[in-house]
Amino acid sequence: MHETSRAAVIVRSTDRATLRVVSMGGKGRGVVADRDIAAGELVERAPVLIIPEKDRAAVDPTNVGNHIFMWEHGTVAEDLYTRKGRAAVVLGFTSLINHSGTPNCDFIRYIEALALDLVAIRDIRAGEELTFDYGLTLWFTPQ
Amino acid sequence: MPLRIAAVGHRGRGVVADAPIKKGDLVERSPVLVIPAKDRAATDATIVFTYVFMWEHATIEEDLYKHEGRSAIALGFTSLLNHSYTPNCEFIRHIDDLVIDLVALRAIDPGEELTIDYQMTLWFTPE
Repeated sequence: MHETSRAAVIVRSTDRATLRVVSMGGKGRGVVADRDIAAGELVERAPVLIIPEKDRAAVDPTNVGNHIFMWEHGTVAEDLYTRKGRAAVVLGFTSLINHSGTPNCDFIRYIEALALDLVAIRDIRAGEELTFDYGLTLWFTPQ
Repeated sequence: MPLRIAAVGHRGRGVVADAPIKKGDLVERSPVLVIPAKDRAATDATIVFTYVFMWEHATIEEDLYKHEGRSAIALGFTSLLNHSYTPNCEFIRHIDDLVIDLVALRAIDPGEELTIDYQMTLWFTPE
């Protein structure tokens, strides 16, 4: 995962590959590619909803807390567990992507622009599930 | 439909059309993140409350103030639409499918802001 201070990020709904939400059995929902996606391609650019630090104690133990990203410069995903700083809910399919230790996607946070890019880190075939590495101590046993 | 996030003055962010949208067009279909009833007391006291939709059959948005049942966050641009009493869009909740549709109520020009009626007692003074 990466982070950047670039502020001039334009968030357009057309900056999305065609994706589909599917039921993945025990893992709940997941996201699959509806067409082939090439390595390096922008899969989705999504705006985010900021959770201010003062709301973290209430939000983190809820189902929303299972879907948030850290939203401060110089923080890593593991910092979620310190409950310091802002977090963010990604307003896109990215929020429903499952974890993998050998993922096919990575994300880039634009902290000031309040946007997050999901990028393919290798070629993805139509029908394949999209995954990224949550980059933190997991609260479940990965498959 | 092509949409863009824009700063709309002191109302913060808003969503504008990037191309002409026709009356009846499906503007966006978003999956939702459900907030279970047991989590409502916690999330309703936070900024999350100002973004959620009620997510039970036969409920209306005003029921959000009862703090009962599930609510949901739309995982799309739909979450950033501002309120209007004369909106150009409406939302349709597909409760069991965990999906919310945003549909154009009239023709919308490129650059025009998209709005919905929040259908509840507002926690701010609308313009």
